[in-house]
Amino acid sequence: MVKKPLEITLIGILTLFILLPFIPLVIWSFTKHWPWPLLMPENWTIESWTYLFSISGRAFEGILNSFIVAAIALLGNIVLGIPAARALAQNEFIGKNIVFSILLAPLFIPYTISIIGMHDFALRLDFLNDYVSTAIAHILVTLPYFVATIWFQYRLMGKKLNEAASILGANEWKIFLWIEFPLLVPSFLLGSFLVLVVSYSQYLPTWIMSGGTLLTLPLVIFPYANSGNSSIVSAYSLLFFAPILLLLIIYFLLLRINNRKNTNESR
Amino acid sequence: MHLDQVTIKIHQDSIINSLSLSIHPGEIFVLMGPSGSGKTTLLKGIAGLLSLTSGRISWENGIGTTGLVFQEPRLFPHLTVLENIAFGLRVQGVATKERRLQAGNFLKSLQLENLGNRYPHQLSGGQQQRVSLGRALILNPDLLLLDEPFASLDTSLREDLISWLYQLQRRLGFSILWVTHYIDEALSIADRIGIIFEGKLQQIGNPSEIFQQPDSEKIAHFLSLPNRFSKQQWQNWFQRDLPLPQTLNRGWIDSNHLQIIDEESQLPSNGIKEGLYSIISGFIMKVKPNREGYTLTIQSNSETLEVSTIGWSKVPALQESIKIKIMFEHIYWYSE
Repeated sequence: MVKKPLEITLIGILTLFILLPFIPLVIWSFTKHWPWPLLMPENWTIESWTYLFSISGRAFEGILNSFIVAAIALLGNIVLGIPAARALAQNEFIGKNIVFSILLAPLFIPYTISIIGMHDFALRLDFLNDYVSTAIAHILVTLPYFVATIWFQYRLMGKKLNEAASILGANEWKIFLWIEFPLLVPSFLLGSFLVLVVSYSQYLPTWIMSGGTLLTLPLVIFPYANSGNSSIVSAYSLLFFAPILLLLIIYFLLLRINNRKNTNESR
Repeated sequence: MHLDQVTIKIHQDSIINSLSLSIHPGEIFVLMGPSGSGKTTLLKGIAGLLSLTSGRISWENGIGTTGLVFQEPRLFPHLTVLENIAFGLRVQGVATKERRLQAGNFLKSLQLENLGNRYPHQLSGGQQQRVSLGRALILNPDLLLLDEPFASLDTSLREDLISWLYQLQRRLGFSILWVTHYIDEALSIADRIGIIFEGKLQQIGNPSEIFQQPDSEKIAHFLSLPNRFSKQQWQNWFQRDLPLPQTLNRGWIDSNHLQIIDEESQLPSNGIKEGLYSIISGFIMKVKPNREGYTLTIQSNSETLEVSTIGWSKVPALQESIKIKIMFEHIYWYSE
């Protein structure tokens, strides 16, 4: 009983800590002028928001481009990451640790080095469509998150169910589709969520790979962040956060549907 | 099914060494052997989970099918009991309606009626293992491979399941290659028993042959046969040369066949001619109660014998001095 109020207080403090920065952002996005020491601005306006969704604001274009690149990056992660994670979790082979380290390398190689390498890469891949080349860069950045998440679930699953299915006649593809994938769903959802969010936040790789021509949301926002226009920057920041919030809600919803399906009690 | 000179190597280690074996239709063949003797490897080899390094598997009708049931049920946790049982049919491309019907009908034989829509985690250990058996049996395998399927269950449940499976097998007529390390399990179901050591079959026979005539001291030791002594020791006790072939140089006697005698009943009674016997004296070192009475550990000079008594009314006392009568005809002889 003593523990509960303490828990509630801690959760309350944590929630405040996360939510507090959003309060001034919301206020700033609805005013042009909010000088110190005023507690609240004297004049309110929705100008920043109308600008955002105007042709020169390019918010829709930014969201759409970000979404397309993130979706291609996710597809790439699925195609490359699941077989890689499976091979690493289920097989023993010489040099396994090296392969694993290379796959996780983007996590611990200094960002500057990757970016310089990527720049060279961008020149060579110039013939590719901007969406595709940008997504390739995003795959490099996001793959470690995806592989690590899926690999962990594969390790938990082991090979015993595969053996059981194989004896019942299932080939590798059926085993994957009917046994492994349904059991991978929770980590697949988490991995996909991470890929989308990380891809969505990339600035430099997008800029380098597309030569600054593909305007994803971070690229749209950046010039305003430099301009010192607090109202527009606040509005963009909130807009930037909205899809992440949406993804988070979708993630939890899908996870819940999946869990309910698996623990569904028969009557 | 015939195994012909089958060898299975894992990482250059020979786990199964040119093993040959035939299993007849409708037969229950029990494979026994110590841990690491290659039992599971052999089953996996037959089931196709491991490839044979050399040798071949052949079937009387050309092609044969196998089903393998592991020690743990290995049910698919996201599928219901019905879906688990129907999994093999789904792989074969049987239509949903048809396979649900077949699996549903099969539930009755498995004594799992009304549990078809449950998930594995909602079943008891015994029920889970029955689903696992059902999942293999619904495909009508020619040979069912069992890898200690009931080892993790408690004794009474294990006995129930063994007798259930035995009856099912006699009714449906498939063959079983059954790996177990429980001697009672082997005796209650086996048509034949094979003993495997270090990837080689050491002896094959029906249960009574295996127990009465173990091929070697190693097998006798593995079967935990009591009162195993060299011919020389037996001759010391009988104080004469025993009329035995040269090759049979060891003998064992069941603890039930050793008779504790009183001083007065030592002499042959009523003039009825008894066979060759010996009486040895010793004292009680250990008393262990069992279902019939007591199992006594008797020290006689430098040797230790195990004697069973019937009834609990008279509790043997430790260090008590006793005499034991050994009938020559009750000793089973085998080679070292």
